[in-house]
Amino acid sequence: MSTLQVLALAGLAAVLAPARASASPEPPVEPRLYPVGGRFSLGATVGIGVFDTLTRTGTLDLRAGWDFNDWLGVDAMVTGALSGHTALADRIGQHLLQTPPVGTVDDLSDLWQLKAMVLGGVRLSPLYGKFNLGSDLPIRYQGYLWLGAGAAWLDRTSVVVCRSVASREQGTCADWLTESRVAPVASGALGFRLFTGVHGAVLLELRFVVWKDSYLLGVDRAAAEAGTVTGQAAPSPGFTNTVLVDLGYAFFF
Amino acid sequence: MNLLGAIVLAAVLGADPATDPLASSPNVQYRVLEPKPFPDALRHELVISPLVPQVGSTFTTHWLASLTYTFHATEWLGLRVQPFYVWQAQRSRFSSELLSRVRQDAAAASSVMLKDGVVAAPEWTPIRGKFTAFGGTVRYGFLLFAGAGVGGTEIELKTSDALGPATYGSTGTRLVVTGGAGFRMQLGSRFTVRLEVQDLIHWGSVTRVDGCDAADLQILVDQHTAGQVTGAGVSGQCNVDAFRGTTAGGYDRGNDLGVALGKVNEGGSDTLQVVGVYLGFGVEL
Repeated sequence: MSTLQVLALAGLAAVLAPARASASPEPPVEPRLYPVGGRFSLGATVGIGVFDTLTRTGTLDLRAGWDFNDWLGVDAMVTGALSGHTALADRIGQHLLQTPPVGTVDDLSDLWQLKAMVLGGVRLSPLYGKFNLGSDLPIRYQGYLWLGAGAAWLDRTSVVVCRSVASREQGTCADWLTESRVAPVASGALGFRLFTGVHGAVLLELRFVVWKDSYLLGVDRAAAEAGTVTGQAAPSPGFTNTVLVDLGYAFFF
Repeated sequence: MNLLGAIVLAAVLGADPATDPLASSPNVQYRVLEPKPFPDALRHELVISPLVPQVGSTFTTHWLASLTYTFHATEWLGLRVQPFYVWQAQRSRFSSELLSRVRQDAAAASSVMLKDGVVAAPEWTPIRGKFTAFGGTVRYGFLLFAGAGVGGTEIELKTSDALGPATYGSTGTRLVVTGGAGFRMQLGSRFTVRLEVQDLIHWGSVTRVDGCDAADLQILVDQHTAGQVTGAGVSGQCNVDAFRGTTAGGYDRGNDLGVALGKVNEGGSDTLQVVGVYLGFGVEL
């Protein structure tokens, strides 16, 4: 290889190196259109219980949040709930009452109903993206995982322990055993913030609220119907998991 | 190679082959249209979901596996065929609790479980997007589908107890309607990951167990009471063998006859849903 050829190849290499770099530039990255870091938010959501078996739940949340940066924030929320027995729970109680009160029965689990709740938690938002709704409406969103805890005000109406039978034939009770308590709760959620602008986002999430259950075992129905306190607390009652779909809106300041 | 040749070669190779005429324009800040890096049209996709839990069950609970073949006719529309197999279906925890605590059992029509089947559905991907996660970019499609198929069904006759595992009787083949939604993420040109929520809906009443209607079962009950289930006098579609012999635990299958007769005589009908979360891993050909 002659000196001239070596020089030519060196020149070629020198020309190619920057040329290759410009031929394959880094893909353009769009800056976040809606950064949330360092911003305060206020929001409200309504929720509805899904997969209800014995209790049904509807909620209204008011929540305040602070985003430390674009992927980490904290929220505090206050929840009020409308809840009650499902038709299935009422039918179970009715059918039981229509049978003679002989022997003992155990009360059912998962009958505590959410009435109110306060929660605080951490929101981790590792996802930020966009999709097009139709051809002209790009939606930017954050996907988040929420974990937290708090306290819940719970009510419980038994479908087994009746303290005064109204009608044996129709299976109606005049005085079901009712209880109330405040219990610690843990909550987690998977959700999206769908930004509608710099100052707001639609909230859509799937939320789990878990509390420790409690109920009675070995209830003597005849004694209970005579007004006597009967039964023992279940030693290992397990946990109740209420699943809610929440939809709402948050304002950013 | 002479000097002129080297210079020409260097000029040709060094030139940007895809020079963007708008790259230096101050009016163009971002590209709004980006070519789809992994086209789907006219490709075949095979997705396996080996472990699908049912969520929100009331009286029964299912674990199933499914294999989904999808032909992507266009980037937006596909046709999927999905055989599924229920490898565990049983009484739910709630149903067991109801039976043991207050001695109530679900109606027969509400206790029918899916055993296997196949459904077909058109698949629509109305939304495509991408997101950044942990420094990387993931492309995905949001898809919707709805269709129908058929499924084999069964019902529990004996609960699992000291005498052995639960026993089941076939309740025939039913029409299954399905619908669902999910996300499909593309990992390179060949591999996909799907996360879908799918509902398998079936309905009807329990009129036969193992092919035997109420009259057949009454004959077999009488024969069992008399000491031997011969099967004489029953209809041809009644599978008498299902009520003969014993299980591995020594349970006499003839004892199922009375339960089966009770369930057939119960009447009533119900619409049942098996909502499952399908995490599937696919390959595109």
